[in-house]
Amino acid sequence: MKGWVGKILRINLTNKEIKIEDLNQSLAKDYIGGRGVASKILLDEVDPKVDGLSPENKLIFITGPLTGTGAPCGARFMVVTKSPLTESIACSNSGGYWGPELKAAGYDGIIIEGKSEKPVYLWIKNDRVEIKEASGVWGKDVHRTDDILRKETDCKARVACIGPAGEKLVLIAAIMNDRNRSAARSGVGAVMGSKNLKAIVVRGTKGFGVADGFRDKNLEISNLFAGDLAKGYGILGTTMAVDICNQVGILPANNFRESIFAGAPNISGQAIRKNILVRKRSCHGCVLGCGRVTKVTDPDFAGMGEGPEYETVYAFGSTCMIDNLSAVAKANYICNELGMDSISMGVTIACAMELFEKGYITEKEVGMNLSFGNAKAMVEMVRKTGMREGFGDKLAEGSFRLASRYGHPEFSMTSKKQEISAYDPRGSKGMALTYATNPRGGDHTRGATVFAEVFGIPKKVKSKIIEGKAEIARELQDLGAANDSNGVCMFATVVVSHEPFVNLLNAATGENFTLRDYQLSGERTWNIERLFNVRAGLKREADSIPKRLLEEPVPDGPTKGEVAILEPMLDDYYKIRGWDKDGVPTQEKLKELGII
Amino acid sequence: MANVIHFKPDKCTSCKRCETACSHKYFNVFTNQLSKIKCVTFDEENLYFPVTCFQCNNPPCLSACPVDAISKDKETGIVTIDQDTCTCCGACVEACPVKHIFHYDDSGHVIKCDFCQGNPECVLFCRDKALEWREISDEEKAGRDKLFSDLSLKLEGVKEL
Repeated sequence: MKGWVGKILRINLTNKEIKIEDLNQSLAKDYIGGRGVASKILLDEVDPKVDGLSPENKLIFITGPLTGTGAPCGARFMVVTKSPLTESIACSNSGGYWGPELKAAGYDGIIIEGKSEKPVYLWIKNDRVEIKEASGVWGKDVHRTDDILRKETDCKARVACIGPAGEKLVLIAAIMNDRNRSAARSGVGAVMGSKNLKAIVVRGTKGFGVADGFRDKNLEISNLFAGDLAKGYGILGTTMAVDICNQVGILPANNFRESIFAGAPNISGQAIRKNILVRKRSCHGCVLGCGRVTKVTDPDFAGMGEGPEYETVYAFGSTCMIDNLSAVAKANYICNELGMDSISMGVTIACAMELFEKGYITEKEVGMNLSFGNAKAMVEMVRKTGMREGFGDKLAEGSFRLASRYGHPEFSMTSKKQEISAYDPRGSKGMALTYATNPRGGDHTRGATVFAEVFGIPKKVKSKIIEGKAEIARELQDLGAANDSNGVCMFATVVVSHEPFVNLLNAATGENFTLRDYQLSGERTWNIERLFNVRAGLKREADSIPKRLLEEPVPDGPTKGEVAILEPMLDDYYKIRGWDKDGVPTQEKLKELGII
Repeated sequence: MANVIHFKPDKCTSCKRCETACSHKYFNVFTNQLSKIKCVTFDEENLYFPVTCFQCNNPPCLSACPVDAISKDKETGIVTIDQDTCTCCGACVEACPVKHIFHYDDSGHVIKCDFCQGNPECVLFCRDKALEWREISDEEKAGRDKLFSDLSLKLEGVKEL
């Protein structure tokens, strides 16, 4: 096999058994790699009804054939498991350098099983795999953990770890790697914490190969990244979207009671560039450089780190009605250090702010004035959540469980109990379907129709209608799943679309995938994830978006009067997918895809 | 004056494409262990050093070699190791102030950058123009000397990259 390393590491933390298995070749070909292969393994090996935080759950780290090859933006790995937050399948994606290092050590992926009695970390150097005691780093933040473990093992090693949030089973905890990169969503950090696994430290000096001809193809495709959009990622990062989304009226504010934010210019990509940007940063192989290395000097929020990116600006900024860039950046730094998902964190705080505003929670209970716009309180709540301190202990359950606790789940802006992203589906209508049908819950990285509706990628479609959106969502979902499995960053495909990466996949593996095969592999993945969720008990009724978006019209701005529409799109979508009215894949569809 | 790989750390974004290009060209695999260019990153200070061998005027590695296996080409300035003469003693590895001469396997074999004999692969793959293949001005030469001493200081006490 070329491109794929061909080996999977299986580690049982209960009985400390370590096994090296062959990657099933036909599985690799059917699913390309990463997300697809891991989802299939999870479906085959884990009861979908299992409690995400129990030892019976498995935690899978997996790369794709282009990961670590120096392919444009080929840095990605996935973390696949049963989510304790959404109670559905979780598949969180991260970049940095850890995935490439794992392949250089000789593995496509790692399956973690069971639960260690005491805190441990894994030290993997090529064929040598050790389960080591982690008492020296348990309780330490992500950056200190990275420093200490690299000193303890090898300064060239790469670290994926949890912070205090993951240890304390915060349901929105992330797995962090290379200090500031994160597999953030769906509480995968809590799953790692539940297994008493603090970190996976990897050093790979063996390397892995690809098929002949890869080099020239790689150079050719790298050179496609030359236009304004590619440059835009480097100049403004993903926060280039702040101004655009605010102008078209889809930047959520005030916990989704508004879709424009007057303070947007203060937290935009330009504001970041002018006020806090130190330099841009890339993941392994990246040709875009959207990473923001930043520094805040405001004494109230002083610090240094990476971010914020667009979603974080919405989560700590507009939806909390905060236009203090220093505070937004600081909240992001704390998330990185304590190991938490910045989207879910910010949107959970916005939910708490609304509960506070309406008097359902009191200043006495919170310990401070949690009004919208209070930047200091917001930042303090982030820290308290990561440490499960005081009121933070309640925020640590995410906004759905928080709002339900006070009898008002309608203030939680979630799909499948996971906080939705920064594109208001009342103005970008297809996004209702994107959020509702995403197997991992509210999220923008699976078939986001906003790219077509607002940014015109791959081509512009009307944003305020629902017609045709089911087909757009389906196509983007399938291609996106294949891309995740390939090990490539979604931003790369935003710039040059998918075909170049099918060509590069063939160049790396020596196979002959067509674009149709590629899309089909994504469809298989999407059906596998759906099957997992169906068996976990999540069907049509779980494919929902917050009631507010369906019922409360946007009060002002370019999208004034609009509401989100879901049910007719869902009907279309299930039909196109070959699923029944309840959202369950039909036997015919599963046969057609070769799943059964 | 001959071409050199001109390093511009300010432009570097730490993408490591130079490293993958190098290890793939010479060893047909991807791992920075086998790359002769290394982008050395200091996270706390946000410093990235995408550098390879500086092909020094008076190479410490050459002086340190007990068997005269290392030589410097008068015309191109490129410093190379004669693998047949090399005894893998590692004196050069210890002598290099910027740690850009490497043991690459357990047998102790030593490798270093030779600018791909005039067609450097890393420069082709660098998208941020942090590496350029060209002649440099006296001013740039001074900057290059400063970079060398800055990195030497940072790597003091480090055994090998």
